[in-house]
Amino acid sequence: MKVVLAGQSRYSENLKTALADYGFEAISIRTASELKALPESLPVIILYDAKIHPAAQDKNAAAKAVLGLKPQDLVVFLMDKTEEASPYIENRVLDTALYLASVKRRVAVLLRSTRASDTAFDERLRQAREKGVSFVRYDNIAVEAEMDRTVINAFDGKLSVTLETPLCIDCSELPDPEVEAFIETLRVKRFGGGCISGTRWYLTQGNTHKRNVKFINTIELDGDIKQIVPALVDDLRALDRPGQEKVASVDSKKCAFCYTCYRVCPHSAMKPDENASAMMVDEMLCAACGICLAVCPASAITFAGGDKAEAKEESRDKLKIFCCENSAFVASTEALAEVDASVESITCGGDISALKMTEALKTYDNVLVAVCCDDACKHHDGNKRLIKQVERLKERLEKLGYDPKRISCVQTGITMTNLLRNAAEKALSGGGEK
Amino acid sequence: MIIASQKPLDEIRDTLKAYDKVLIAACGTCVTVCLSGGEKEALELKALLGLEGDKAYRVVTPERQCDSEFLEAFDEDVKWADVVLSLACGVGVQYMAERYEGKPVIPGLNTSFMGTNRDAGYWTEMCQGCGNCVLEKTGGICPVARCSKSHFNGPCGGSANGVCEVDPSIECAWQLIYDRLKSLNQLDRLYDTIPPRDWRTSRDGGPRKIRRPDVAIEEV
Repeated sequence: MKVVLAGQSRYSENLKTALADYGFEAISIRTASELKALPESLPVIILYDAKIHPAAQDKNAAAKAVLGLKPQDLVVFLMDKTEEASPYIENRVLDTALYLASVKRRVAVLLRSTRASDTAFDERLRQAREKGVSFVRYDNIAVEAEMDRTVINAFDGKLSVTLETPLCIDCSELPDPEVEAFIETLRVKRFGGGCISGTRWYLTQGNTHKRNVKFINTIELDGDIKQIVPALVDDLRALDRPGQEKVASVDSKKCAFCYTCYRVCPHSAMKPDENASAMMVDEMLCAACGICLAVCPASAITFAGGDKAEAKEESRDKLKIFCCENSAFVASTEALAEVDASVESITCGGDISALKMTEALKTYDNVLVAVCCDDACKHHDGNKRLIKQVERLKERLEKLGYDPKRISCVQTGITMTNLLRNAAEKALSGGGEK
Repeated sequence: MIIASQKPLDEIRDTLKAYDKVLIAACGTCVTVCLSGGEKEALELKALLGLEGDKAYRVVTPERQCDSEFLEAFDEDVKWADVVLSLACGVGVQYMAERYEGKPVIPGLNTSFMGTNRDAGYWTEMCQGCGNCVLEKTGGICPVARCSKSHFNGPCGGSANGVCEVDPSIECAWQLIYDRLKSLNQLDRLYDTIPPRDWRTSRDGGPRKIRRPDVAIEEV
C-alpha cells in the first residue's frame, strides 16, 4: 500500500523506514503542488515539526532569555492567545515556568482555561503553584508592546488585572506556510480557525476529520517516532477495508452543483464529478452525519444503504424528541424512561432540517432536538448548525402566528440525564426555551 | 448569478389567503444555488404553510422558470392550481405570469442582486448590469456596484480605514481598487480621470434588449 509522506521533518526518514517494515511504500513530497499531482485517494501523513517560542519550550533557552532581567522583573508566559494551546504546549510551558520559579524568578502564566488534559497535568499545575508561579485566567486580553516592556490587561469577566513585564513570551505555535498549504490543498477542517487534530475526545492524536489524512505534530512525540507507528499502521490498513454501509449519495440529475455540501461537509467527503457536472461522495470519507442532506438546496442527497425505512408517524405522544446518537440517545434510556415522548435516534444534529422538524409538528404538539455540548460534536459543528436551524424555524413559526416554543433544543452529554429529562419535561409542557 | 432571499412568511401567507390550491414552483438554477428558492426551500415552505391545513399544495421544480421549454412539463400542475407561488427571481415570476394567462403568479422571493457566493451561506453584490463595463480601468473591481455612491473617481471623503461611511461592514470599493492597482503595479491609472458617462446603456435608457442577428435570423 502506498502512502504520501508530506512535509519536511527531522523524523521523515525514520518514519519512512518504520512504515516500510510494515509493507508500506512511502512517497515523500515537499510541496503542496507535488501533493496536488498525486491521486486524491492516497492516504497522506503530514509530518510537522511545530515551532513555538524557544523560551517556552526549553529550560536553557528560558534561562538565557531572563539573563539581564532584574530579580523583581516579572516573566509572563501568554498561552491560548490566538488559539487553544495543545497539551504539549501546556506541559512545556508549565515545566519551563516551574523551572524559572525554582531559580527565584517571578513568573506568571496567563491562560484562558485551566482544564485538566490528564492527571499529570493537574500535578504539575499544583507543583508550579507551590513554587510560586502565578496563574491568571482570562476571557479577554489586551497586549501592548512598548520599547522595553509589555503591558498586559487581562479580564476574566469580573476582575481585571494589569501586568507589566520586560519579557512576555507568546506561547502560540508559530505559523508554517508550508503546512498551511498542505492543509488547504487537502481541505482539512479546523476547529474555530485553529487546531486541526487530536484535541477533541473523538480524535486520537494525529487524526484529522478526514479519514485518510493524518497530521502528526512531531513536538508531541518526545523524540520517538516509533511509538506512533503501530496505531498509524492500524489506521492505514483500516482505510483499505470498506467503510460503513450507510453513506450519502448524490442524485447527479438533481444536483445544482452549487458547492454548498462541498463547503459544509465536515469530513471533506464531497468532490466534484466534472463529467456529470455534479457533486459525488467519496464513500471512504463519508461519516454519514447527514449535514449535506439537511443543507442541499436541491434535495439531491439521500442516504444510500443501511438507512432505516421511514416509519409512518401515527403516535399519540405529545412530544417528539430527536436525540443525537453520540450523546442524548445514550442518555435517553435512563433520562426519558418515564417521559411520555417518542424518541428517535439521529446521526447528528446537523442531520435535522427545518423540514423534518416542521413535519414532526404535524403529528406532535412539541418537538425537542437534543444534541452534543459545545466542542463535542463528532461532526465538527453539527450541533451549532442545529441550534441555528432551530432559531430560524422559531422565527418563521412566529411569523405564521404559531408558538415558537413548540420547537426547542438542548445540548447534553451521555451522562447528563437530568438535563435531558428537564428539557423534555419543559418541552412537554410547551415551554421549551432554547 | 442572481441572488435572492425569501419574503417574510406572513407576507407570503397573506398573499395566498384567497386561494385553495397552491402550486409552489421552485427554480432549479440561480435561486437553488443561493439557497432561497430551490426544491428544499419549496418543500419547507409547503410544510410550514401546510401546518394550517386549509389549503392543498403541490411542489414542482423546473430547471429554469425563465425558459419556456422547461415549463411545458408543468402545464398540468399550473392548470390544477388556483395560484402559483413562484420561488424564482423576478424574471421567472414574470415569465410564468406571461405564459399562464389568467393564472395569478405571486412572488415568494425578493430578488436582490447579481453577486457571488463568498462562503457557504454568504453572498455579496458584484455587478449592476450597467451595460458598459469599466473593470479594465479599475483593477477588476466595479465602482458602479461596489461603491455605495457609484463614484467613477474615488475614494470620496467618506472612506476611512478601508470602509465606507454608509456602513462599516461595506469595504470601500476605491480602497480595494487602489490596493489592487498597486499590486498590479498600475497605480498610474488613477491619474486618468474617468469622464461622466452615458447611462443610457444602463436602466436609464429604458428596458434593454440584446439581439444576435446571426442566431435570431428573423426579427421578432
